[in-house]
Amino acid sequence: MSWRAQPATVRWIATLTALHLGAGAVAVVVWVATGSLFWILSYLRYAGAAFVVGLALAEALLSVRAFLGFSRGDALRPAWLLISVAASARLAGFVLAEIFSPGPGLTGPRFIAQPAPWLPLSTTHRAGLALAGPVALLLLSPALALVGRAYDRHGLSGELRVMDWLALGVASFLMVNDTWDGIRWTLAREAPLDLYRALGFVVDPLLLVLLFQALTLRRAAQTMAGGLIGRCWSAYSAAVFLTVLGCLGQWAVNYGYVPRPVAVPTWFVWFLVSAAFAMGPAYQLEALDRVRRGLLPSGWS
Amino acid sequence: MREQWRRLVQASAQADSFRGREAVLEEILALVQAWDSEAAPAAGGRDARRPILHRAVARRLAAELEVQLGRLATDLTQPARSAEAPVHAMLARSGHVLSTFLGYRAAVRLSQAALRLTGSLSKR
Repeated sequence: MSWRAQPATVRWIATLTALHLGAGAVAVVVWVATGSLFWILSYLRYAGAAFVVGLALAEALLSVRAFLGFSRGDALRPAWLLISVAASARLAGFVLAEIFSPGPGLTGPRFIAQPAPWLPLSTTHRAGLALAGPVALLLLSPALALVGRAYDRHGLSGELRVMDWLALGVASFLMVNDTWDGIRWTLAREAPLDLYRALGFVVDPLLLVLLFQALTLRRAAQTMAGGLIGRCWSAYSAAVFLTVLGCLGQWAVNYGYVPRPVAVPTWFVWFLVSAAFAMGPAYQLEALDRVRRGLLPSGWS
Repeated sequence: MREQWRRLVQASAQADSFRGREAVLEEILALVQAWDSEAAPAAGGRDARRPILHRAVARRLAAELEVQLGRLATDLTQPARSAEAPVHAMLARSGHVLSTFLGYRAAVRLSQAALRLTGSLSKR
């Protein structure tokens, strides 16, 4: 599908993301060249917050509209309901974390709850991270399971290939390390296990389940490669894959496994996650809107 | 006339310049009517050309299914295009998948749009 043939909403999201990442690259260059933190801090705090909140709002609205396109009894209606609630949780989480209680200093965005290390975050910020992270993912997982089952019923389920199993193996190894580091840190400091930190411990196993679902869904969506429906579920698959990458990057930075310069790209992964999550329902809605417009001549835009 | 016909059929597959969804079909039908009035009755008239028009609608439906379902549409539409009632055959083959991934209402709307076009051909 060429750029012009892409749905207008998807083109908007892609353009906005490219501009935002370009601005971020400029801010990083200014930071490195001058040593001044002003531009990079302003970018992360204001432009970054506006971007993730804006795209989460778009994602929530598009998901709800996609959900409304389904009738009672439709196979994917419950899936779109769960996706809409998950998108609303992400929006509420980002509003709480990024607008009402921005994080401290030059840390980059943290979009997911983690059990450790202890970070000086307000209760509002932690509630936001919990909503946008584990709560949204807990809602997304059964939704993807329903979609996978729908593909399965049509004999379109995708089989995982060697590369998929390899990715799952590597992710599992790193996630186990992440969890183990969290447990060690908690035991060493006798940190209390509150709800936020408990949810942080749920993230890793949940992401592994989601990664398996996303890889399976990607293979299934390839049976509809080039179509709007296939692209919708490929976008969700990419969003989950990028979330896993972002989470692993966050772990590696928090525990000092990678030096600060390497940490910078991990900040930007979260913006791509937001874009991918918004593109999923955009494709679905375009598919529904096309049907609403009637049987158009092919190539009609 | 044949050149004009070929141009319109080709245009129905990539009709960026047409104004509305009925425009392509209307133009084709207008041309067919003009053709009818010129052709001798023994040559077959409109009835003989109805399958051609049905195939034009089928081609548009196949293009739409390709936009929606991508690679899967090839399997669902290819054998149907050569069928006697290609539109009906395509809808029968793709209806279940469309109902699942677009919802029942959207699947019905798409089917109705295709059948309305073939229905309008029969009435002409």
